Amino acid sequence: MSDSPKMYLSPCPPVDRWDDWVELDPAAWPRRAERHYQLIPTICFNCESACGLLAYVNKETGEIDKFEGNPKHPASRGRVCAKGPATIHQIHDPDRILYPMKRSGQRGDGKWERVSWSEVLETLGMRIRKAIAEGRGEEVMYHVGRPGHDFIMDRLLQAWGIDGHNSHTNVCSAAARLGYALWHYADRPSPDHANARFILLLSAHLESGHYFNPHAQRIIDGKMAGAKMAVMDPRLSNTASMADYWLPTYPGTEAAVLLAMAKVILDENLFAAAFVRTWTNWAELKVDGFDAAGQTFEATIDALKRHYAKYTPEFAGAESGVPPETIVTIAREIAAAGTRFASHLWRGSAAGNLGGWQVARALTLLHVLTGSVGTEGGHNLGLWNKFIPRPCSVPPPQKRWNELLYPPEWPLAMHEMSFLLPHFLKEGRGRVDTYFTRVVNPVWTFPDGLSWIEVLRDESLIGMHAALTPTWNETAWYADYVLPMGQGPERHDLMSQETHSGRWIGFRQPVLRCFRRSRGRESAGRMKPIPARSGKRTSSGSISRGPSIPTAPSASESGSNRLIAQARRSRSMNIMAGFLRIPFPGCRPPRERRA
Amino acid sequence: MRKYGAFEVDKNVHRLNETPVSQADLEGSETRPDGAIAKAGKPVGIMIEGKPVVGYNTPSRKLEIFSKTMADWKWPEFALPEYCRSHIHRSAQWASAGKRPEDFDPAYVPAVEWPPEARGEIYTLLPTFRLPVLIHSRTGNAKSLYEIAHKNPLWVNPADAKKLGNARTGDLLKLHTEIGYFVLHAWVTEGLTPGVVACSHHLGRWRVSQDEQIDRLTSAQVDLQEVAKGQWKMRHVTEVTPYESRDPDTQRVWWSDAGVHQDIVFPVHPDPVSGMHCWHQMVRVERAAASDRYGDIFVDTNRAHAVYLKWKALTRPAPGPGNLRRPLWLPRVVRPAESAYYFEEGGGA
Repeated sequence: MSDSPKMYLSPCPPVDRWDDWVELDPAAWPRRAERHYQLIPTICFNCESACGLLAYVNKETGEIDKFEGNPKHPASRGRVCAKGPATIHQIHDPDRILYPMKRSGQRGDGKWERVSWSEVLETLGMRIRKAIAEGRGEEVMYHVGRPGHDFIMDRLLQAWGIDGHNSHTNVCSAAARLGYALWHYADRPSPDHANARFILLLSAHLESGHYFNPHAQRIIDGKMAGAKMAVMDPRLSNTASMADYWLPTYPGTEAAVLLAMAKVILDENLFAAAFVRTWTNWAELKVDGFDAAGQTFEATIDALKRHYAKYTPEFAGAESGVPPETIVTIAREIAAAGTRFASHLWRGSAAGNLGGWQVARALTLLHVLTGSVGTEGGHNLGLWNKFIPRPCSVPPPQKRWNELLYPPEWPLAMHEMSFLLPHFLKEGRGRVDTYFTRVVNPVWTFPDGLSWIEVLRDESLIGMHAALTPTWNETAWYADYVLPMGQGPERHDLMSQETHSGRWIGFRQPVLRCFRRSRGRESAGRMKPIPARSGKRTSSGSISRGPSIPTAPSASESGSNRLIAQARRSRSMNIMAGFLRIPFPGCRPPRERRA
Repeated sequence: MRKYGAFEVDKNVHRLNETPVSQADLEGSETRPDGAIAKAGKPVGIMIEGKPVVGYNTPSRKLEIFSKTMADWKWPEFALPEYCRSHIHRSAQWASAGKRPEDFDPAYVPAVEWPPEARGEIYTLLPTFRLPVLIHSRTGNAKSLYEIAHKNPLWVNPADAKKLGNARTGDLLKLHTEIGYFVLHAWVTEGLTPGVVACSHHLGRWRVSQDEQIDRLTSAQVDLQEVAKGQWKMRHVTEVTPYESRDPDTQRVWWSDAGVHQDIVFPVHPDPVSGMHCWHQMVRVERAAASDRYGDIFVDTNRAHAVYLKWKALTRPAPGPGNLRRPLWLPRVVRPAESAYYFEEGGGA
């Protein structure tokens, strides 16, 4: 080959080489066996960061051999965590679900039979249609965790005119969202770590958590440029071990420490007075008998100082266990960083504690006082950095309100009270006729999973449950239908996240279909069968599958191929097509059917 | 997008609050004395230093140090950023043990009532941290990830280990919550503040079937029984074992642990304001008895429902001003039409 040998070792293949990237097969060593790859970009689905992946499609076998980072992705910039490359093992997981299944015994008995997609789509489509036609639209519930896409299901549910979207937010980020939203509507922060002078983390974002890969590399960029870092965490995480200050607060006392810092900044007049005067609603302040109406800014600040006098560093120290002098030192460092003060809080102390939403609110107070809202190196708004394209036409919003999702007791909830569903059903607040779960496993991930099992077993409370999942899980066990979904590199999704001070959109594409299309083969079903190898180690260290001789078209397909081919063989391309048989406002259904 | 898999829309996005109000929005708008700009009753911006800019999407179009929303929706004591004591605060721990009741305020914090069998020292359990290579059940059966991470022992500070009869790494401990208990191994470490124990929630997957198709690299096979109405017992039957499949690696599995499921032993803790499930747990920790086995779980869902009712009692329900279900300006997922935000006449909780 004419390729320069050093190209083999390049961690980030340049785009002009993606069509024919050559690597040596390590399994063939010491023989120099070349492998030719087509590199196809997609985005990861092993958390919600949507980092860029490059799939290495072996041109000889037509299979994906491995995944690495995509250097052209604006957020992850070629880097991935362990979960990215592990995608290969999800595709080839010998236990993954390949066919739609229907329970044959009682719910939870564990007896299943394979059924066709047509049967599934007919059954579910008819139920949904009937519920909507009878004015019971709210009994159709689509319960999704981190969806891996933006807007598409929202649009679908609104097209049906129902208030039926359930989420996992209230077991994850609700508290921080409320704390942030009360300040500036945006319910997520977007810290500009790379340009910060001081970084305060109430998280473990060098090693884990939401967007940790894009965040961690920018936190390190900031540190390389001289930023100092403090980490507030009862646990000595890997992140805390890299900090200049570790503040092992007693859980739930974080807001006391943050408000003590605010008091120091106020009392020592280190705050950005012009910013606070211009950009806060100080003129509306009413506190301790003081009313800012008709008062000066200075008098209002004095009222604030009096109000926050109770949060002394000594008080915060006694509550949290953090020495008061450390609190004062960090407060002054934060003030000195000024507009270049960045922080992050997503779950952690906010998600752990009663009143945890006040932690995000107290943290944002520090940004407001330092004038570091919206700045380079500061705290930016999530909605400024997340880019969601709006479709050219959207259905009108639903005219209904589902009290199983947004009950009156929690008017400020962020958002659906998803984890209380079993208790709402037990209280007789309603029933669910057709329940979908996708990327959510409440029996296992939510608290009180046995109360979930109790209502999932009761057909009078949940009429039908379809679990949409590529792998088995504890909740799917209590389903009527288990419907396989594609793994990450088998899907089409658009995604964007507020990972840094830019805006981007990522595209998850089905890698093997792209590969075939690029080779002039549109359909997976029409692909020439690829002889499978025997159980020999491949260059990526993964194991190829046997037996070697295909006997039928389905046997020649890899796990992912089988899925696609099976879906194609069924009349309907995917489950959504089945749902769309239901007439909804402004759209003519493909084929009218009688309920 | 197909070629690169991603598209960069913008770089260096800052201060979008200073974006000028569009000409279209300015036409026919009115400016109030406080500078707020509204069009057809809807806020569209704010006058800042003589210029109309969009500001923030709050009622005041500014950063709200004072939240009129909180005051209007029955939480006037939280109109400003404040510190409130958590449900696992020491005062709540003392109160649950019948000590120092004067430090405890039941108007804000639900009192913990221990099951009769719950014994041992009281700690706060930190159950929220992730393992860097896993993500809940989504990474189920990804062999390389479970080869790296398959244990979730209880982090215990040496000072606390001493109180637990000199517990050592690997000893079995029994953790009681308000609704049941679970049994797991101790990991004695300085990497945690004393008085707190910690366990990652990313492990402890289980399956009730022997079925060969179920995530065998990830889960323990368990026996799950409802022994009396609402009283559930789970016991591990087999841990992770090598098995035959079309992937020869499944026969090379060298680990046996699948971890212990902890979330299932937690009652719901809905925050009365944000609706967040408050994950931290007050627990009693004791050494496991001879009859306890690794992975054992007991839960009483009758108690779980009682805890739900106790937390629900702290809420201050809608309607808010104008018979609203929710403040109109606050974000809501899949936002309904404005008419849906109002209770029907005579409605409300």
